[in-house]
Amino acid sequence: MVAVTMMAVIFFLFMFSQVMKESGNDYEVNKYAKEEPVKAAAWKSAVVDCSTGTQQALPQDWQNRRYVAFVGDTSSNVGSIVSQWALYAKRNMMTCRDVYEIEKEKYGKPEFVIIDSTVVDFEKDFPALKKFTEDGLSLIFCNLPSPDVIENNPDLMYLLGIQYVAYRNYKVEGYHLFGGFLLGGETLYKVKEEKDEKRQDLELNIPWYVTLGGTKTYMVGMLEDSPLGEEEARNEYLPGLIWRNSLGDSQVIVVNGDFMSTTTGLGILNAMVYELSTYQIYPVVNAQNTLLTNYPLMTNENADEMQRIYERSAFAVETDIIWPRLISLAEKSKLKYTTFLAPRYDYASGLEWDPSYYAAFLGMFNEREVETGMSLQYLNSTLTEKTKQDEQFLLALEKRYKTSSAFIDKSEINNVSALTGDSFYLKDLRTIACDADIKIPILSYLDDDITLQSLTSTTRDFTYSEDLMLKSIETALGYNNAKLNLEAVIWPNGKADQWENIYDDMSSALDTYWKPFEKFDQTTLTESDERVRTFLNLDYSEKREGDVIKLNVSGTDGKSSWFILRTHGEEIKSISGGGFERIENATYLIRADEEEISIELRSVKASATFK
Amino acid sequence: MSMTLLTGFQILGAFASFFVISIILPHFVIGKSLRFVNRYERALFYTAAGNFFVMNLVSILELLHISNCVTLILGTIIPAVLIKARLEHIDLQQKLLKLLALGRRITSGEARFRAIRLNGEKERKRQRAEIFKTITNVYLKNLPDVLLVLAVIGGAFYFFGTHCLEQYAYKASDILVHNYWINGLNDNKIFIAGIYPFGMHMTLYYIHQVFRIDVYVLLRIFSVVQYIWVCLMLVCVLKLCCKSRFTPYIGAFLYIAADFFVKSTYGRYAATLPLEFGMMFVLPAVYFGFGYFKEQKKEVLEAKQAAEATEVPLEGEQKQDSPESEYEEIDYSIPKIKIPLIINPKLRTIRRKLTGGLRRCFKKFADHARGLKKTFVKLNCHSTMYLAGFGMSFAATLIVHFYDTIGLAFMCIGMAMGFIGFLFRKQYFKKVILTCLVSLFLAILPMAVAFAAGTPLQGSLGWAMDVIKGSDKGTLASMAANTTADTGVVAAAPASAESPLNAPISIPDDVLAKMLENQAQSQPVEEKKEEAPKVPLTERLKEAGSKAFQSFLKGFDEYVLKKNDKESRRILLLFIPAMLLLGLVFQVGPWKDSHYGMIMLSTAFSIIIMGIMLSAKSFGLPRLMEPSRTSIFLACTIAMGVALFADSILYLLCRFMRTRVPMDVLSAVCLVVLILFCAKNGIIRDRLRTGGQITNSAITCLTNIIRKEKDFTWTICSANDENRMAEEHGFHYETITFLRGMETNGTLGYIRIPTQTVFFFIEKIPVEYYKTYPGAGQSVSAAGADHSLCPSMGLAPYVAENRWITMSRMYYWAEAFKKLYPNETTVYFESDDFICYRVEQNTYRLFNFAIDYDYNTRIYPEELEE
Repeated sequence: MVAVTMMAVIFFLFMFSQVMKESGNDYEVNKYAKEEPVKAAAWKSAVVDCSTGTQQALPQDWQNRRYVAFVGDTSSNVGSIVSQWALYAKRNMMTCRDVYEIEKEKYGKPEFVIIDSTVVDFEKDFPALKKFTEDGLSLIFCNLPSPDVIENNPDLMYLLGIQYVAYRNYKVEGYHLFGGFLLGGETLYKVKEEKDEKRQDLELNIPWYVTLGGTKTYMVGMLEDSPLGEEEARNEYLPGLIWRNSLGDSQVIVVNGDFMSTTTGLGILNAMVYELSTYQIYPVVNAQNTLLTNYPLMTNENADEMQRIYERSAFAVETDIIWPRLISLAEKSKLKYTTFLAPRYDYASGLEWDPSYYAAFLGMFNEREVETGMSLQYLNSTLTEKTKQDEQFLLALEKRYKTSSAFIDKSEINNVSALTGDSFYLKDLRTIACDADIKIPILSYLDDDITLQSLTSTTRDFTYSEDLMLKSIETALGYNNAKLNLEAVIWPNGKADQWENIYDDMSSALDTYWKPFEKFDQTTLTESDERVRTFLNLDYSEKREGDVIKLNVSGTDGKSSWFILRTHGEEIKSISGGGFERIENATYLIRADEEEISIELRSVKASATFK
Repeated sequence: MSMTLLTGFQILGAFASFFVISIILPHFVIGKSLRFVNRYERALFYTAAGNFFVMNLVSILELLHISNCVTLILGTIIPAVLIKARLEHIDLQQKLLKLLALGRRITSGEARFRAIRLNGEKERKRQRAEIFKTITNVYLKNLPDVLLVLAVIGGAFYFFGTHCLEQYAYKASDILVHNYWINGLNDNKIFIAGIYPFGMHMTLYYIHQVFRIDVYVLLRIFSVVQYIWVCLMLVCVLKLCCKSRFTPYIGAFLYIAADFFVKSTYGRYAATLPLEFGMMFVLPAVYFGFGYFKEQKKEVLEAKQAAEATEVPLEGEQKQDSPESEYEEIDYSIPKIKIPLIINPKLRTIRRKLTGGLRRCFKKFADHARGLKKTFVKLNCHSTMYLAGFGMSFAATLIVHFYDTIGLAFMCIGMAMGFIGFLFRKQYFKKVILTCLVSLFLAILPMAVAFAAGTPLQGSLGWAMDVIKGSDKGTLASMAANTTADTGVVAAAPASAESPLNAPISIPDDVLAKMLENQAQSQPVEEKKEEAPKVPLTERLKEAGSKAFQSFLKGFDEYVLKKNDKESRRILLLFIPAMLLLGLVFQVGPWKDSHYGMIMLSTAFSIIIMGIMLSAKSFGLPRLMEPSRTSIFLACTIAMGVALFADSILYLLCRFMRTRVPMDVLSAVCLVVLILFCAKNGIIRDRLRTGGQITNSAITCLTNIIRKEKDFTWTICSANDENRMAEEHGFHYETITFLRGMETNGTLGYIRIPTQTVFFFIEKIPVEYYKTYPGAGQSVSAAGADHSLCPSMGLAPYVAENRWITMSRMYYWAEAFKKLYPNETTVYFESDDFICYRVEQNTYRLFNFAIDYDYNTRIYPEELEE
């Protein structure tokens, strides 16, 4: 009798706690979507195009702001990257297609000149380039002309800091990115084990330039054995990929490769500015998002395959197999997920969705720090048709989650604005994520209400060029938007798509490639949206007096904003108006809580006193 | 904490470390065995034994190439415990078993720490009471002495130590070489630059390894410790020789503070040099010699009396009295050998011969065993103990510096003359010679082993031999050294062929002229001697005597006594004949205290001998040591002699008083009067002040680098000195090599330094490195840089005007490089006279430091002439 009573009590206690948990689970509330988002008021850089040949009036506030001159085509990939960088770095920009078009007299001296070599005739333009260096103007070559052009022009070689051209085209083993240039530290992009071969997607056939004394190199090609002589087998003779040459008061930075025509160029430009200055402070987003697309599904799709592989239904796979692992990974790496719920993925399947799944998943997510967005991806349908069907599903629900984020195919970005007006469940949408594309800015306002956050990395099949891009974007924006395709688990294309393999890939990517950036905040997409808006809206100015940097921030609407401070060996002694955290050697993440921030630095010097 | 305070703490640390070696460790091992001697004698024994042990331990481990912190600590603890157990008859095995049993009980839970602690409470209480009693007895009852010893330490520090707080650099050129040799010991390379007495190096190396004090720190500040120790040894010896309580401090005062002696007699104490380190063993050796004669005389007398008493020994009496009875009696009787009876007479003869042979054999063995036992018993005699002390001190001087042995030899000759009545007696002479031979053997052995293994002799040994032989090479070198000694600059011994200091330091013209003049004067004298007309023998003897006396006085005037007010100070020398007289007075009559008298005589003779050696050539004697070095020993002996002289007067006056109090009071009065007299008449020495060969800022900067930067991730590019100082922590690049690497080539040169950080030390106001020049003190400038670099090798580019040119060039290079690499080149340290640039580079892609900084690509008229 006693035993029965005890069992009943225990049963009651368990049931009671579960009932309490479920009744108190307000899963329909989106904690991350605030009532009043930061208004869209993006700062825009003033752009002057000198190549039109017409005299233009100086834009307002031109004289008070630094500007960069770009020699090249703004519609090219390089031009697109430079424009994006100028926007994010809060700089005005002068563009032209001929170095002789740069009008220093009218527009003042630019901070530096960025040159796309494809539009430069080095025979004709060299005197102008030389004149720039003599005037103390620094040059950034986003790419180089062919080795023949360089070899036939010793003056150009001297200007570029090239001692000689060892090979016009040589296959290197990999790249060696030195520490202190991009955030994330030193990295070797070289295949050591067979399994890494698929990761090597860098351009290995490069012209081999041996740099001069007085240069500083940031990235080189790696070789097993040097074909040059014994003396030239030293590291100093390895083919340079990015280097800096000092010519009196001017510095020339050279990129030997195609890095500047991808988003990798953003961080490289930032790192170059750092190398050209005694210190650098610039705004960043400080957000690290992990997106789980098409997860969860509300239908039991691909049931036979799921049964065969996992001996479970799709729903059971998602709850019993995927979710526990995701949770352990999140706890280990302190991740915050944004899941993109898909009522149905294959709209031709005709399967009925189960509304009970909705409450179950949302309740589960609500217990963890997970935001739920809507997936606007689909199979065998159109976007309009999909949203209509999804509406039906959502209308049938008792409680509905307020969706503020969504994931969409990049081809359908332009349709989003129309959808938000038509569809009731998308009216609260604030931010959209989509796959990366060179023509789509990483961060931008899609319209007055919605921001666009492109993907910056993936958790699967992470290649060397993606890692270089990740480092670069983290350097430029302190931002990462990584996607894990979970529809692949339900619709596998082979063994590689099985959950254990996907999990292994994701786990190793988190432990290795993302690890250097763990000092940045983990955010959901809506949280990140808040920071992106602040980042896009803000404007800043800074001034150094002795050891103190005075930073003035405006346009944040009272919200905190983040900056990265990079010094050359100096450390932060104190800060007022915000806080700071050390990311890596001589690199700090600054949080600006007020409009005026004062940062006191101390240099690493010997002292006459000892501890 | 400022650099001055840090240096102060470093001195304290070095003193404490040396105290452990010289007092604490020997006290632990032989403290109980030396219970019967007084504390001053114990201090002498401890110093000799501790240092002798450390030196031998290091040489053994170094020769075996296993020397490091662990082996040194084990090599100290294990022998110390074993010797202690042997001397105090401790059963180590039993102790160990007890300890193991205790461990077992604790681990099995049978016993608890608390219970064990409570059991030991009684013992601890007893120990605490004993310590308290010792403090009361030793320190409180002897408070005046304690205070005076502290005053001696304080005085020695004030006059000879405070300069270290003002000038952080090395104070002598050859310290860099010693630094190099000690660094060699760190790599288990003893005699790295050839065979040389390594005593000081081994002691400093031991302190460095065991107490973790950097070698460059020790070489900067250990001079203070060694000088304090020399003074303490002087006080101990005088306390043991003098009869009154406070006269020893007269000697200490004269030696430390009174301004009677020329700077060359004490100037070298500013630097951590072997000769001065060895001084701390010279006086103890002399005292052990005195002690030996005293105890041996007593023992011989006792033996004689015992022999007389045992002429008709009572049965069983000898067995009880003889020292052998303390030890287990061994049956040495010849065993009976049973050989079968053989009738054949031939065979019988053989048997007899065989038995006889065997018996003789056993008898010889028995005699030998008895002899060994007797020897062992004798080791426990006091005289043997003094001989052991003498042997260890003698060997220590030989291990540290041959000149210390020569100085000690002068004193030993004086001692031999003082104790001439005893020395040549069989009971004395044999033991003394044996001791000398054993210590000589022990001291030479490591060097001999190394020599046998193919290590050549170090270069300066040849130089020392030249001095001893009196050859030209030695003469010129010594004359240069004498000149520098007179001007107060620490004389530099020629360095080894391998050392960076081997470069020819050009001798100033005036010095060269003086040397040539001296040589010119000495040669015609010899020629004149041959041509001199014959004069009567008495006249010649008189003339020779007068000449000798004049030379004797001249030696004192030139090398020992201060030159101003010479005549009045010569009066001081009158105490020498007075000492001789008093020494004789104490041999006979009512004041008879022959041992005390002999000490007086020995000291006086020592002073005379060293005085003669100052002008050895005038006396037709070989000059065994440079006069400037002899004067160091002489000044110490004079201080000792004056104290003894004052003591003997007081002793003479108060000999027959029943109590010592009047004598002690008078001695205190004498001490106070002397101090007041000297103070009133301005005969108090100035604090020793020295100039370093690098700036204080450079040392401060170096200390920063060593303390803050990770070892071997940096290189210092500087002019010479930091080369050895930082050898254990980082790398070094010579400034002149660096500049020459890009001379005329500009960027086509190739200079890469493969460390992450490179520091460039530049003197904005170049120091006067061993040589001054008309523009000395000027700062680096474009005018300085606009000269060709000195083409000579060695130190020449760092001396005089060349240093200004080198530093100016370096400064303009740094500024040009900073322009090329503005973010990578920072000013790490800057003061009015010094600047240090820091360059951070990527070790995978090193900077080429060879650049065109304008001055290196110019063509200079000097180069065109060439």
